[in-house]
Amino acid sequence: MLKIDNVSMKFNLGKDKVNTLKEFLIKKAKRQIVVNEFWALKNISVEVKPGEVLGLVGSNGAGKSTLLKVMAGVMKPTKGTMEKVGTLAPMIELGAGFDMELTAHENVFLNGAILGYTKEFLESKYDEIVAFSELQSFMDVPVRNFSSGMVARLAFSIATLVAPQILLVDEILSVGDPPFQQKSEAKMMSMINGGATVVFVSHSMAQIKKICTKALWIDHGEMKMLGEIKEVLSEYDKFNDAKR
Amino acid sequence: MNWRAAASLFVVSAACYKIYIIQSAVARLSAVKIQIIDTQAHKGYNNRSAPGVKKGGIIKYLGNGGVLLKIVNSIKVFKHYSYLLQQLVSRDFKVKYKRSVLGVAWSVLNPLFTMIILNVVFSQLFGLGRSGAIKSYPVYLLTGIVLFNYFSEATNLCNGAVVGNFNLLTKVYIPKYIFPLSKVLSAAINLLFSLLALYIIVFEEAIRTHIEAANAMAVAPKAKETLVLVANQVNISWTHLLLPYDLICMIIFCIGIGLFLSALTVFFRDMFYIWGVVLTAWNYLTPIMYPESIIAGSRFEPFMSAVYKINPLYYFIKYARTAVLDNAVPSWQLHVACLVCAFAMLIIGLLFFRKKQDKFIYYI
Repeated sequence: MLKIDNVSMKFNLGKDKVNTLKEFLIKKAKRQIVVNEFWALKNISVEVKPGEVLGLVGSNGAGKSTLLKVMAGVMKPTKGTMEKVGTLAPMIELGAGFDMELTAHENVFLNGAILGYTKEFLESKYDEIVAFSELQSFMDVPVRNFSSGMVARLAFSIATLVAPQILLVDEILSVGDPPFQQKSEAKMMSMINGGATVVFVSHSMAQIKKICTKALWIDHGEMKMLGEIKEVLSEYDKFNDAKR
Repeated sequence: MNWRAAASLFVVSAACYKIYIIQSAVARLSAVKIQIIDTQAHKGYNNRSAPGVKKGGIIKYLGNGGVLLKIVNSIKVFKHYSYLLQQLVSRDFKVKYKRSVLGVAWSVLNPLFTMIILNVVFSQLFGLGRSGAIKSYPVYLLTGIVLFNYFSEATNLCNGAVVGNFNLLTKVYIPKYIFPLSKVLSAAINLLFSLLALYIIVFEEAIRTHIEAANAMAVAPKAKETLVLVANQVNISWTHLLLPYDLICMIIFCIGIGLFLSALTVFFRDMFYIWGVVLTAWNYLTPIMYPESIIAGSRFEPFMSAVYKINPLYYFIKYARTAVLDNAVPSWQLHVACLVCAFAMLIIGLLFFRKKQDKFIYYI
């Protein structure tokens, strides 16, 4: 279960990055500390119950990834609260939690540890993870030599096979080839039927229609529409057509 | 070959054998499983014990949960991530010695060689150890060096702890304090090896001073120099077992400073350089290379005695020297001073870190 309650997120688009003590003191003395506020999210409220799949749609820069990061606990919202019950596996950006210098084998354990799992659990699931990702012959290669598709496969296998109760997927499945996309959809469906909560960000309307039960349309940080898939997507399509 | 060379040879060969044993033990150590108490968080259930509080799930962003609840929650979260801590420490350790030939032996040889060089320079060239104020200059010097090296290594590593792991922090939820914590613990493993160097010197000094005193006793039992030599013998007594108390206080102190520094470096990247200068000054303001009494009578005495009193490392090093060199139980004031320094710094570091940690993400 995942609950976002009146969440707002503010960023400071400072003109110049103040990174050192000297710059900070000089700018303070010159009164040049510019505070340029940008509200990436404005009063978003949504609740996703177990077994539901929330699709996030919106134009680029609308705030979908920011909302996902708030859900993952990576960022603390400026206002509002985020509540979650259960283990969470985020798939935000390719190779999240991967150390590029280590081999794939070591990264499975590092990523599993980052997600909070024990060594015994990871060892028991290791063969399943390798089999799902179909990267058996590459497990001793450093991850920086992987293609983006291979990284996506490995990340997805680790994230799903440890059976989290909440899964956040942010546009990374688009790099997988069609057979992998089918496999990942099937895996997500089985997780959903098992009572997991999934939040799915995608620009592919077909994928969203197939997997999601609810949809949330975000535009410039505001909740434009929250409801059934068909309604939200048809409104979104109309909006996009009007833009063209 | 005289007795001195023979004793040193024996000690060095014993050290090499010890190093070999430790290297194989370390290889097994990385495979040891740490017992992890699996919290209820994995199952995740919906019991509500109080408004705004969820039992069982990992609770974040408690609006009005109260301090005690937050502490209990933090302990739960910490246990949940203990395997990650183990992974980070063992990764640091493996990477540190991966490409060197002597590997782990450097943790012992480095302080040993430094001590030999400094001993020759300070006692022979500058005559610092000859004033009679110090029982055995090598042991005096090395206790200071070993502890100060640990402090400097731990804090230097902590400077880059959060900044160097931004790629993990921006994508997945990890309790951020785990990074400085893992660096302090990696440096602590190094400390254990340097203690070995310390004990090599302690053994060597014990043998040497006893032989010297015995020789003097045989020749002129009542002479003043003989009495001095007898009094200055280095012994290994049970007081050495008090050393772990000092080390644990130091580790807690370094965790506190590490948390503070790792948070500060996120906002001011030049902390790397500033801290180097601070450490150099700190090194000379602590009586590591010179006896405490060197300031007596000089015009710096009021200033330096004040500095001694507020310098936490002064207490830690004094405790270690009292236990190891003087073979005396340190006074209860010293015990309390070490404890207070350690926990005061820990609380300061924790509070600062907690206050600033939500802003890290804006300062990539």
